[in-house]
Amino acid sequence: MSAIKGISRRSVLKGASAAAAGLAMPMVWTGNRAFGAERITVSDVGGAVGDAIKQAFYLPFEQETGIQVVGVAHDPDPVTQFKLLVDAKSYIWDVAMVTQDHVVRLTTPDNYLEPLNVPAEEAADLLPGMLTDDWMGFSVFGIVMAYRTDTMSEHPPTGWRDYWDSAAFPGRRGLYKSPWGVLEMALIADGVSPKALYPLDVDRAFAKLDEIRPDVAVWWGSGAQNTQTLQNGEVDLSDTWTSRASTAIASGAPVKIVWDGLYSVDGWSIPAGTPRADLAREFVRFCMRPEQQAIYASLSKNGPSNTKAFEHISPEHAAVMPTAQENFQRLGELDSAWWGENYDAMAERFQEWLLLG
Amino acid sequence: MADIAVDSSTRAARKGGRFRPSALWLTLPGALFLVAFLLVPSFQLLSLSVEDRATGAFTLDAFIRILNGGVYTRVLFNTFLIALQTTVGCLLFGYPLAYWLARQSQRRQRLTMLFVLLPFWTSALVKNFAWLVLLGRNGSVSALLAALGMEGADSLLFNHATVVFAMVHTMLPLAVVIMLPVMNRIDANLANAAGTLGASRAQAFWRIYFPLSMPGVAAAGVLVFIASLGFFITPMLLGGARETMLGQLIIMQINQLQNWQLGSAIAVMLVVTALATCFVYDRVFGLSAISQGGGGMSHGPLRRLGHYLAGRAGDTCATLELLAARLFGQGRLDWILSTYAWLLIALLLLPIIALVPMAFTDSTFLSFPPQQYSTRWFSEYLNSPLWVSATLRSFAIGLSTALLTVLIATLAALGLARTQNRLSGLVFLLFMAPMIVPPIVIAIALFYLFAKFSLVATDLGIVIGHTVIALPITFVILLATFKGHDWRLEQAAATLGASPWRTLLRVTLPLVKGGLLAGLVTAFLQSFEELTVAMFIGGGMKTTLPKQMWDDVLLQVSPILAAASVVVLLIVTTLFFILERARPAQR
Repeated sequence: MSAIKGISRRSVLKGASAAAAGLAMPMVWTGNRAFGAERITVSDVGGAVGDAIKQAFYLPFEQETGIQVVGVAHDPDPVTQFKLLVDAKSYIWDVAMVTQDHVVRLTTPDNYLEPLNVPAEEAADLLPGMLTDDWMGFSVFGIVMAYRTDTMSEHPPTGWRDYWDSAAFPGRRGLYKSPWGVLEMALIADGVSPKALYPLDVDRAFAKLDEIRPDVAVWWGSGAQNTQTLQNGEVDLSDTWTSRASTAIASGAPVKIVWDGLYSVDGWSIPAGTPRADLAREFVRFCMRPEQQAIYASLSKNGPSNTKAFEHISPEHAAVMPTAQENFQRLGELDSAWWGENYDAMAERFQEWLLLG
Repeated sequence: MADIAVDSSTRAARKGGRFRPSALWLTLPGALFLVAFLLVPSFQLLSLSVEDRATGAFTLDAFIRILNGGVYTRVLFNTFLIALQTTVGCLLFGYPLAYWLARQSQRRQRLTMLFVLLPFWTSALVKNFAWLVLLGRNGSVSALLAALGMEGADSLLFNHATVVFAMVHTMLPLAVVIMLPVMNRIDANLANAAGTLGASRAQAFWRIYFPLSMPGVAAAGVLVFIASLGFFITPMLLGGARETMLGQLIIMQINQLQNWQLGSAIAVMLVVTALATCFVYDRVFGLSAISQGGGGMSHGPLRRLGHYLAGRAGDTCATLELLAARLFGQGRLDWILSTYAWLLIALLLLPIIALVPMAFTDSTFLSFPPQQYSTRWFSEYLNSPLWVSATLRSFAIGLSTALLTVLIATLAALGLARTQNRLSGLVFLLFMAPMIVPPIVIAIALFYLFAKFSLVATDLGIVIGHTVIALPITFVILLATFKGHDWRLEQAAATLGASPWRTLLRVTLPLVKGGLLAGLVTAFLQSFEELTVAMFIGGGMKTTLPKQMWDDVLLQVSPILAAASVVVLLIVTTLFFILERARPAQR
């Protein structure tokens, strides 16, 4: 992505700048309540997670501070949008939900993020790595496996090795139509420890993928499709992101998560230069509180980044979270820096493998 | 569409003598609009594709990458193959339906056409999404097929055949809509005359009717093929590992990787393929129907090949049909045809009708048929600021698009209807041009242009894009209206002492208002259902209803999507009936 230079991207992104005045009014509902009050706009991933965020952070923050929070959903990959709005200085977002590899892409070569300026003592209870200069992680999600208990009950799979063994564990399989996370799963199935994956042995991963390819019936392309295929039994076992599998489980589908794989973290970042940066910082700090994170985690089933949050979470809820001790020890961390650097090349090679392999 | 152009050109020629070269100036605003928002951005895209990303130097790297036999070549081939199969499927299955429709009485035909036009105006997104549920492993179609003993009935989704099926299903109404008017114009007496001269019914059909209907078939083939080339919704939703099409790669390169050089190069390949198809089709079958007779028929060797092929095919089919008629009897054949037509219509309507019960489910996920019914998803829809504001935005954009399009198209149609000189053929082609450029190419070309003028992520940008896309059909409707209009009425009014203003208000407007309304509604519907332009130009910040639905498919998939689809269906159906009433009486 660093190769994006020259007039093409520059002119495209810069171009929108004068539109700022015109489009500053975001596509949101402006109730009377907002009149004259302070307000920030926060963009999240929408869906069930978006609802949990609203309950845990937006509404309580509004109640406590009187600052209205308007939530909007952004694209699955918000980087292009993020850069566009900073270059155009049209701050339709004041805070945005991004992952660590988004942060890598948003800070190299140019910096698009506002510093958070959180005092070190406030971060004492956070898991290591959850707070950087310009990003605060609040939602730990697992990239793991899920299966249908109704069709796989005789031979429930226990890890990625079983996913690859379609003779002993028959069933229709789903896999993400992207190299992101999938290469890691292949290596784990091949015996690499989740904690010792990086830098990825890409050739080995693709060789392992060759083995499972004929058994994959559904290549899912979006989180929504992942939930849907697990919900309606289109697949018997699939890779999944924990909140996506949890949504299927919450809707009553007989689905179970196997804690073997990786974790990654969603967090908040502030677009560089937003005139409401101070309010945005206040909001981000609010989201570090264990009580709020506990509400979010209980609703979304994504893990909190504040270790104290577990004091407010019921044991049965805690048990299904990625950050629960028993689950967390089986998960390695997805290396965002590696993906930031290699995503383009991997995406192309994966596409080629899908089509020509 | 095709017939209108041919029809009008001959009529204008017949009138002869009385032409006003000055009226052609009225086409100027529209011509400038298209040059600015279609031709210029398209050429800009071309120049982007041959420009090195780092240095700006001239390079053919991107094209070499596409054609070097690797993944891009494969996708190019895939795209071409799927589009070709879709076209063949549409013509093969659509032709008998159009033929059956053409033989109905005028009243019955209009009534039956409603069932074809409703799927025509329903967005591809809605229809394809319904298939996702209906054809699922535990869906009702699988259960039915499994009960009938079909093997593999539970794995209908995510393969090549399903993608082609869904695309044929999406495009077939378009093919019928284009073929039907041509068939309607074929003089029934010709078949009688052939009969008198001793031809069997089958021979009369295949040697007389079939060749006469070819211009419609050719036009339908080209437009379906071109529309299929740029498709991304169907392969994305229903495709497996290998069903990737160029449209998806363009989105990935531009939206995700911001690689304009490669993205533009792929777009250029799409346009080149589309233009080459037009050219070859014109040589072989004659596309004169679309391009307004432009220069008369060509009689090259390829054209003769086309005639020869059509003739041979006709002979073969005639023999086959003769055999079939002997086997079943002629009456039985008619019966088979109308059964076929109704079954096909039922299939066209199936996913649309199936959405209604899906929307009334009580469950949190989509299923067909639902276990318990409720209206909770409709109230969720009405209470969601996201959905409501997207709906309102779509209305506002649709309305603005309709007004702008009709304004431009009315002037242009007036100008063209009242002139006949060498330029008018060219002008007609220009106004048809948005049809032969796939929407996804228009979308990214405008995205790049608009970024320079700060029009990305503005409602105005989307309106301009939608106007480009809505222009051809609206223009054709208005052209037919004005060509059918008898301008001597205005002269008569003037002779009787009416002022020009009064003539306009009391004579011209009442006579053409049906056509104007049809133009307005058509342009509105085009905008209201449009996804691709809204996706790029909206920049993720100005969300229209189709874009919101697309986001929901990617992010959430809840029954709210079905509820929204039902709302869209209601709106489209209402407008569609208005359109039917407003349609100028058929001649």
